[in-house]
Amino acid sequence: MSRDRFDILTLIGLAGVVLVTLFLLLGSGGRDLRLASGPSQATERALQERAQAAFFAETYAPVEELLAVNKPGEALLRLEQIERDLPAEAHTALLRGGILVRQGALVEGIGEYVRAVRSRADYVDTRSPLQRRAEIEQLLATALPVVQSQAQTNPDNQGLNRALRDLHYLQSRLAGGCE
Amino acid sequence: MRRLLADRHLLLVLAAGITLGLFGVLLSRWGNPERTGICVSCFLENTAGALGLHNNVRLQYIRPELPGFILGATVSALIAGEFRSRGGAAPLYRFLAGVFLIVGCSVFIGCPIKLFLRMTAGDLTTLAGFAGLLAGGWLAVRGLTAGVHIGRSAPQQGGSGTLVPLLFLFLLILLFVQPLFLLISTRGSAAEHAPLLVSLGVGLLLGVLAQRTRFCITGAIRDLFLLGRRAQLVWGLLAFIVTATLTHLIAGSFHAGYFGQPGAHLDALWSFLGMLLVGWLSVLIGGCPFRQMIKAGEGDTDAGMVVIGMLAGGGLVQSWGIAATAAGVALNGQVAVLAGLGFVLLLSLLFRERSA
Repeated sequence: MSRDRFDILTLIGLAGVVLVTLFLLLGSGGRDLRLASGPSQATERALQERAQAAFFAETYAPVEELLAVNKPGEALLRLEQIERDLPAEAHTALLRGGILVRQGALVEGIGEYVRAVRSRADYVDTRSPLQRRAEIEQLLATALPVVQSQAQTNPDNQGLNRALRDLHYLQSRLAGGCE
Repeated sequence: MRRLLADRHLLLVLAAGITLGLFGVLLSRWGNPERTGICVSCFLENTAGALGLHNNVRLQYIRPELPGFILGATVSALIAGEFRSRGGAAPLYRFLAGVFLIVGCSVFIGCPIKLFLRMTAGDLTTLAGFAGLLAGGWLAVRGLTAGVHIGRSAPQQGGSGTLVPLLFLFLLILLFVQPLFLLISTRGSAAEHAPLLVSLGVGLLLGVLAQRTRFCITGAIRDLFLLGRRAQLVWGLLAFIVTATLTHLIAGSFHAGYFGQPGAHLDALWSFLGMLLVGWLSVLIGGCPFRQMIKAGEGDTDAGMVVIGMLAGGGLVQSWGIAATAAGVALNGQVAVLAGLGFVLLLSLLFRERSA
C-alpha cells in the first residue's frame, strides 16, 4: 500500500498524540488522575459510613436507653418523636420492628423489619457496620413456623398472609444473590 | 450415539456446556454472589455502575469475566482465522434490542445462563422464567419461518470489529489500574467477587470455548424447535444443566424450594414475561446476551451494538427503578417489559420479508 504525504503526516500526528499521552500518564505515575476528583471514593464512603453510624448512635441513644431499662412503651413514643424530624427513616422502622415483635405484635413488627430492609439493604449485608443479620435470622427462626401454621389454619387472614410474604422476603434477602 | 460422540465439534460443545456448568457454580463458591457465578446481565449492570452510569452503590464493579469472554473470543477467532469486521444490519435497532434484553433480564433477575444456574440449585421460582424463555424462543422461530429477518450484515472497513474488544480491554486495564473515577462497591453484591485473575481466567476459557462452539442458550432453544435432538447445541445445554446440578449438589448449594431463594422474587407472571422478551428478542437478533458478547469478540459490530446497548441498559434499569428485587417487580419494570414486547412486535412487522 503506497503512502502519500497526507498519510505520512497523519501517522506522525497519531504517533505524537500516543507518545504525549503515554508520557503524561507514565510520567505522572497516575498522580493527577488519582487526585483529579478530590478525596478518593473510598475515603468518601468510609466517612459517610462512620458519620451515618455516629448519627444513628446519637439520635437513637434515648430509645436504646429506654429499652435497656425495659420501657418499650416509652421507647415507642420516643421513636414517634424522632420520626417527626426524620420521616420514613429505615432505622426507626428497624427499632420499632424489634419492639413490636417483643411485645407480641408479630405481624406489625415483621412489616416494620421489611420496611427497614427494603429501604436500607445494609441491615442484611455482612460487610456493613449497620448489619442486623443475627437479629433478623432470629426473627425468622421464631416467627416463620408460627406464622406459617397460623396462615394455614386461617387462609383468609390477609394480615397473616402478608406477614408470611414479608418473612419470605426477609429469608430471600438473607440468602444473598445479586440485586 | 456413538456416531454423535465421534463428532469432534459435538465433543467441544459438550465441553463448553460442562465448563459453563462447573465454573458457573464454582465462581459463586469462590466469591461471586450466590447463584451468580456467571450472569451477563448482572455483570453488565455492575460494570455500568462502576463507570458511573447508575448510582446504586451496591452494584458497582467491573466484572473481569466480561472482558474475559470477549477477549477470549477475539484470540480464538484470530487464531482460527475467523475474525472479520462485519455489520451494518439495523445497528440502532440492535442497540435498542440490547437495552431491552437487559430490561427482560433485570425483571427476571438474571440472564438465561443465570436462569439455569438458579434452576439447577433448586430455585422453583425460575420455572415461570424457563417457560417464558421457551415461549419466547418458540414465538421467534414462528417469526423467522414467517420471514422476519433483522437485516443482513456486510464486511466493514476500518477495523470496526476491533472496537468492542478494545473497549473491553480498556475496561480490564481500568480494573487493574483502578483510577479514582472508577466506582467500586464496598458493600452489597458487587463487593462479592471471586479473585480477579480467577474470574478473568474463567472468562477467557469460556470465551475461547464459546467462540469455537457457537454456544448459546437461546440458540439451543431455537435449534430444539427447528431440529429437535439432532441439534448439537441442545446437547451442550443439557451438559450445562447436568453439570451445574451435580456441582450444586456436591458443593452443598442445592436447596430446592419456592420461598426464600437468593436473588429471586415471587412475581411469576413478570418472570415469565421478562424471559419471554429475552427469548424472543435473542433468537431474532441471533443469540442470547452471552452469545452477543462472543460474536462482538469475533468482529461482529452488530453484536457489538447489542453489547453497547446492554451496557447502557445496565445503567438505565438501575437508574430508572426497572430492575426487580426480592420484593418483586415495580411498576417501572412492568411498563418497561411491555415496552420491550411492543418493540419486538414492531421489529417483526418492520423487518418481515414478504413474498410478492
